[in-house]
Amino acid sequence: MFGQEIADENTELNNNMINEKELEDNLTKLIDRSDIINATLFNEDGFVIANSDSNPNDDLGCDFFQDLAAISSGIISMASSLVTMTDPSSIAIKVNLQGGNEVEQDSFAMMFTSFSDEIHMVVVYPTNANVGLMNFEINQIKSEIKHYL
Amino acid sequence: MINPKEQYVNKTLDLVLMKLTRFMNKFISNIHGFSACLLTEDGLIIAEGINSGSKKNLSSEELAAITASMISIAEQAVLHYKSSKTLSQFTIETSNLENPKEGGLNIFAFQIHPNVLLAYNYPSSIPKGLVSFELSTVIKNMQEIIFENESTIMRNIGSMI
Repeated sequence: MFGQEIADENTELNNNMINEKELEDNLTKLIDRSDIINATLFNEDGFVIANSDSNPNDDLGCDFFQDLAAISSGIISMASSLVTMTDPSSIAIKVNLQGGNEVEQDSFAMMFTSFSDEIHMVVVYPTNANVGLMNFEINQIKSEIKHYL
Repeated sequence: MINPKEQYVNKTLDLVLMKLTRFMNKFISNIHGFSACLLTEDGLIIAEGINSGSKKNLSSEELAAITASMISIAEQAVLHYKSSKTLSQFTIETSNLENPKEGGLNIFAFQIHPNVLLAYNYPSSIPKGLVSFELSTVIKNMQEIIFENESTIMRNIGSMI
């Protein structure tokens, strides 16, 4: 009986790991098909679900993206409050911010989108990126990974 | 009794604020927006402009306070990703749930001085190109006024609330 419970738990863990790997593959596909530098999927509480750049040997460690997810979660939450305060019939669908000016070489922008009430995504892209293509690819990914979430 | 020096400073400040408000009103009416305000990083309003023809008159005080706190978190995000960069602009796009055809409103914040932000909101149906064009024309004028009268504005900002 007890052994069966452990086996079930292991199967669930394995399934979760497979899902996480597939989510990461989907995010990697997203950055390959567009100008996006990095994509991070996180939950309402600011915990990372999947990241396109999950190589632990990378210069930017896991903590870096965990911190980014936590800050992003705060931004989304405040943006929703602001929108509700200014117009109760509206909801925030997209939040953008830009670091540096357009003329600077390494300036970048971040886009925060919601997949559901609890799942959000932050993407980092250069300011000269093709935003139309990026939006299209993000919408594609949304429909592709819907069943994992 | 107000001394002549103080009187002169007050007059200059009034003139500067009048100029800024005029630019803001012109800008907001050109983009058919709802309201706009110039605010410090602490959320204090320097000048505000409201489109008198607009149906929705949103409170600038609320917009300024929450925008300032949100900008500070956004700045943290930028610094976290690349410490050499600073936040230059911030946008929230919304969608109207009750009347999807009408569209939501976009809230935009733009840094025009190290301590001064321009925050404004406009209907999402307005083309972004028009907003960018109007912004680029008005921003230059406002930056000039702020840089010329930086000390007058910053010294008196506390007394304006």
